[in-house]
Amino acid sequence: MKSVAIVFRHAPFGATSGREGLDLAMLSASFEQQVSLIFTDEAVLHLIGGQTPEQAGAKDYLSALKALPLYDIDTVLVCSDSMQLLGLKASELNIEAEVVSADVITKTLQAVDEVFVF
Amino acid sequence: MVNSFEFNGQQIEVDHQGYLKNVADWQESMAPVIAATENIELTEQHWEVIRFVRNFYLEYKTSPAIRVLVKAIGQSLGADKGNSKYLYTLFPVGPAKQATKIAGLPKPAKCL
Amino acid sequence: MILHHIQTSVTTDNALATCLRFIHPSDSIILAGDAVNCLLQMLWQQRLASVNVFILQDDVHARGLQQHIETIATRMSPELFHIIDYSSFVEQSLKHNKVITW
Repeated sequence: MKSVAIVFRHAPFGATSGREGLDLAMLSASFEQQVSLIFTDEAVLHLIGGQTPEQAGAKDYLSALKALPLYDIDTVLVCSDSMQLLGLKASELNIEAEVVSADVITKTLQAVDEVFVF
Repeated sequence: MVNSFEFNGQQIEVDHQGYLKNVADWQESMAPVIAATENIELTEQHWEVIRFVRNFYLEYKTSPAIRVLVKAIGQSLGADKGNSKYLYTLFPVGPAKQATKIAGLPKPAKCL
Repeated sequence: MILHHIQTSVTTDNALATCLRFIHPSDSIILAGDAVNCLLQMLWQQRLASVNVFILQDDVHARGLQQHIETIATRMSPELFHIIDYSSFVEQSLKHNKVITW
C-alpha cells in the first residue's frame, strides 16, 4: 500500500482541477492506497458550506466530499494561513477536516510516498 | 449519434453503453426494462441495492465504486449483504456497473 | 528531500509562493518554463536566497535572459544557485526522494 497526498490549491469552479483531484483521490482510495487531502490557498473554499456549483455552471462535485469517510479518506488537512488570509473560520467547514499550520503540511509532504498537486 | 429507447411514449437518451444521459429521466417502472437488457429479473434483493445506489448518487452526486458500495451497503443493510459475493450473485457482470445502470445513473468512472 | 518543480510565472500563478510556504530545509526547487522569470525580481531573489535552486538552462536561453541570470548568480550563494541542463534535471529527480510538480 502506498501513501498518497493530493494537494488542492486552486479555487473551485474556475478550473476543473479540483474535480480531477477529487476523482484521483477516490480512485486511489478505492484501490486501497492511503490517501491524504491537503487544501491550501483558494482551494480551501471547496470546503465551506452553502455552495451551489450549478449556479456557476459547474458540476456539483462538492457533494462527493461528504463521501470521503466511505472511501476511508480520513486525513483532510486545511492550511490555516490560507484560512486566515481569506477570513474563514474552522466552524465554516462543511466536512470533517483539520485546520493545521504550514509546518504540519510540510511534514505530511515529506512523509508520504507520492504527492500530486491540483 | 444519440442512442435512445422509447419508454411510455417518450424517447429516453442513453450513452453508447446504455446508461441514462439524464438522471432525472428515470422512474422506478423503467428499472425492469433496463434490467432486461442486462438479463436480470428484478427481485426485492435487487431493488434494495438499486434504491441504495440511487440514493447514494442523489446525496453524493457520484456513483459509488464497488469497494465503497460493499462497505456502505454493509453499514446500512447489514454485513450479510455488505460483501461482494452477495452483490455479484445479484449483478453477475459487476454490481457497481449494473446496479447504477438499472438505477438510471451514469457509469461509475472509478469502477473496474 | 523533495525536488519542487515550478514551471509557471509568479505573476499568473502562486505555485512558487505556495511551494515556499511548505518547503523543508532539505528540499530543492527547480525553476523551468516561465518560472525562471521570477529571478529578475529582487523580491524573488531574496525569497529564494536561502533555498537550493536549480534553473533550467534552455528556458533561460530561450528567453534571452542568460546575461541577466548570470549577473544575478553573482549575488546568490554559489552552493545554492545552479544553472543546469536537462540531463542534470533528470539526475536531480533521481537523487531526490520525490518530485512535486506545483
